[in-house]
Amino acid sequence: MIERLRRPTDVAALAVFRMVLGAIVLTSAVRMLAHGWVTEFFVRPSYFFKYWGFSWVPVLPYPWMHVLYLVIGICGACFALGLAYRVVAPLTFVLFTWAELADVTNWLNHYYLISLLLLLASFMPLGRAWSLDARIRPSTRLDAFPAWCTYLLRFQVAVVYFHAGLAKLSTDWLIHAQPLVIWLSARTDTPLYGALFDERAVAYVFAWGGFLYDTTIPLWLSIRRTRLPAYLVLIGFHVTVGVLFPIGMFPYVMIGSALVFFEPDWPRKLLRRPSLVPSVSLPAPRTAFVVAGVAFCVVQALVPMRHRLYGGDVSWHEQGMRFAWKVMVREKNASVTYVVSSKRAGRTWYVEPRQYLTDRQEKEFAAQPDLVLQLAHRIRDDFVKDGYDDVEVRADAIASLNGRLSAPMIDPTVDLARVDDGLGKASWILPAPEGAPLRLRPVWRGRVASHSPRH
Amino acid sequence: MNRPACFVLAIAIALLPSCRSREGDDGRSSSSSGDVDAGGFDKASLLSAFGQCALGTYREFADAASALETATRTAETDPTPASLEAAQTAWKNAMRVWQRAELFQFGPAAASTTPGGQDMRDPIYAWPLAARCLTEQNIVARTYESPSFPEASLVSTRSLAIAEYLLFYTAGDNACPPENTINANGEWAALGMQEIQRRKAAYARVVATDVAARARRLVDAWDPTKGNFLATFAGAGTNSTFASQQMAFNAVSDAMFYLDLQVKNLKIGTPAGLLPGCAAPPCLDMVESPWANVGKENIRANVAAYTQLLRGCDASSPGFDDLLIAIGAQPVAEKLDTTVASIEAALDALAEPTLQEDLQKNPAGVQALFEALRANAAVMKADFATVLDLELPKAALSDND
Repeated sequence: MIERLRRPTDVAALAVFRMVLGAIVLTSAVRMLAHGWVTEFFVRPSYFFKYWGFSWVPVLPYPWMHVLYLVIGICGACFALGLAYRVVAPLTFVLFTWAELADVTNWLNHYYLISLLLLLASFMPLGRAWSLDARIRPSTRLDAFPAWCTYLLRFQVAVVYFHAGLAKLSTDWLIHAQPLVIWLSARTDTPLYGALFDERAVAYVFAWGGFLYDTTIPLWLSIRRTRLPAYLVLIGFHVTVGVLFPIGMFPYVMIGSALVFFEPDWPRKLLRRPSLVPSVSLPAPRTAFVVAGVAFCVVQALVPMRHRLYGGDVSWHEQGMRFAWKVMVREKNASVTYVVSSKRAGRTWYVEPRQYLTDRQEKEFAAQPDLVLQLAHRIRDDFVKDGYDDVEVRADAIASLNGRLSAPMIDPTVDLARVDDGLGKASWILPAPEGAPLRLRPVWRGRVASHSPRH
Repeated sequence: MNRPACFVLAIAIALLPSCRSREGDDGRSSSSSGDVDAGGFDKASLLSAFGQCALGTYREFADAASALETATRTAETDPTPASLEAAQTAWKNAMRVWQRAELFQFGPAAASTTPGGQDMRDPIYAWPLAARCLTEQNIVARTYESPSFPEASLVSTRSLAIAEYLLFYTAGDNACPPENTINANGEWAALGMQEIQRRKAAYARVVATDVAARARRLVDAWDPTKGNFLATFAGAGTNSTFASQQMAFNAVSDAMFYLDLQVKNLKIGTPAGLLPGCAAPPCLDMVESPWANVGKENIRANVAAYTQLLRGCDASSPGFDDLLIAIGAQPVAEKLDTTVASIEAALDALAEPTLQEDLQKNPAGVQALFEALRANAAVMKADFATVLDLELPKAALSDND
């Protein structure tokens, strides 16, 4: 086994992977700056939601988050070029992850994947071939990378797909084709595709196709005979999804990441260059390193399934929703109003989240109970500062999930001011509404109006 | 399977969504799920109906604003109690219509940061921006007489909000602090009551003239024979302003949140002390239209316009409820209907002549109205947004996955 892991492989594929990953980081940083999202995400808000255990991650004052993204972009370019790789790779991981951890409402699954790939790449010698480092210091150049590098990256990408597929193993997705019916219904005017979405059956094709694709694509990519057609399907799938939905870099991240499934010499074959069969002997990885690698794999395999410990519908209570590759499985909107009362003052106030949040933050936070709890604590603290130290904070929160009628999401009798966040099951989150979503159907733009007076 | 065959298969699967759906002889897609068909509903006609409703309201307002301009001109040239009262009535008539137009803040009336937005709302009615002290400084300096006043002055010193003060507030005091030059130098006191009223009448005429001109411009922007934003709006998905029909629906949906953000929060919640911002409730100075005392009528007009968007502008026009029913979300339409009925009932239950008096004598009734508005907003944010896949435009910024 160890022998197989240390087997020398052609450097070409992972060198290209490094270039692609660096380019994605660079592009992501440029998009953040060019679209004004750094300002929108980090300058406009006055309140930031923290990840459990990462409340210490700071948001820098203006203009330093802009500078951070500028540095991330530069690091991405250096990473791609293989310049000062040993320093740049971990630095890129740290900075990129810092930016992602700064506010939970910015959470994106594919940026989490980028962080993980950067972390793994930090422990790999990817800068020692097809790089500026190798050109500047030829003595550091490697003619072969150990096979474990490829295996580890393949495992990580496979984990993403497999768990994204498992997340779709639900009645909402497979039986009701939700939230796809909702999403496609809203896109019936899409050029070329739009009329197709008038067919409810298309949502089912997308649902089952997506489920089968996610759960099996790592397998097809792993088999030599099916690899190329599988990759073409992968491109078609992600391009289609990218055209339909505002998912930004997601298609490119996945299309780029999946390159790790190809043979290590695929770039040479593509360029019609002779393959190099390295004959060098690579040192065996240290035991601690192997243990860490195995631990990483175990964590990555199990953490996405932690929601099963909580029971219920993870899309509703959201405990175990993050870091779990639950990609595009819910359309959930919520309304939250805080009811703040002070017995001593004899007053009750209604506090609107928008008093603290931007429109974007409010939209993201309202459907996530742990974030509702976080803001409740901030509101409590503000009232205490104003002299109302006996204040109680309750949330009137209703949510609609995947086309169901809305239902209370948080127990309105619980004083959230006295509830601590944690990893245990949250008793203050009410159970998900039972029953199927509304049986929604699309409406195509080409149809003739037939409004009849009813009022 | 050989490699070329694999390639062809992969491309075919990838391009599958570009195939057209199965269509019947009448060009309509037949439902394969056995559902009742979506009812032959047409999203473009719904957008057109929203646009027609907005344009009709703007035309009505332009007429009312023109009448206000005439009335203020008379009140200026023939300052009698009767002419002042006529101007006040004209203001109330104009405001009653504009309060309906407040719900139609999509397209040119909306902020320039939104699709098709041209910031045309605030110069017509800038509330809650209304700077009384600055206005009184303008009265002293006669700044309003400058031809550039309508363009150069702060919006908080003009618009219908200031016209209200100028026409309805007849007392001789001002809201500036003693250290302000108009008080410290005795400039205000030196004017005398009669001159203050004369200048207020002249100022009101300037403001009314500007509002009437802007109202005509707003109509022109939508008019099919002029700016024809109506075609842009109804043709959403086929132009660069609205890249999709969904963008246009988002714009209307955002406009409907006026009932939540302005009516519930600003017009009711804050003055009633239900939201933070009012230390000793009720805060009567925070009520809308404090001098004309038509705060309640304003809210009634806001609710009426919201209902027009929800149920249709008139009996023959489609509204959002038709779309909800067409997609199978009738329970959501019914929920919204119920909440609107609760709002109307709560409004009817406010028995005092003015909102100010209700805030003082019937706080429970005001809270009931607030709760009814809150329930409506919750359904809008949760159910309505979900089944129609609506996004706040600002929320739609950035990536997703």
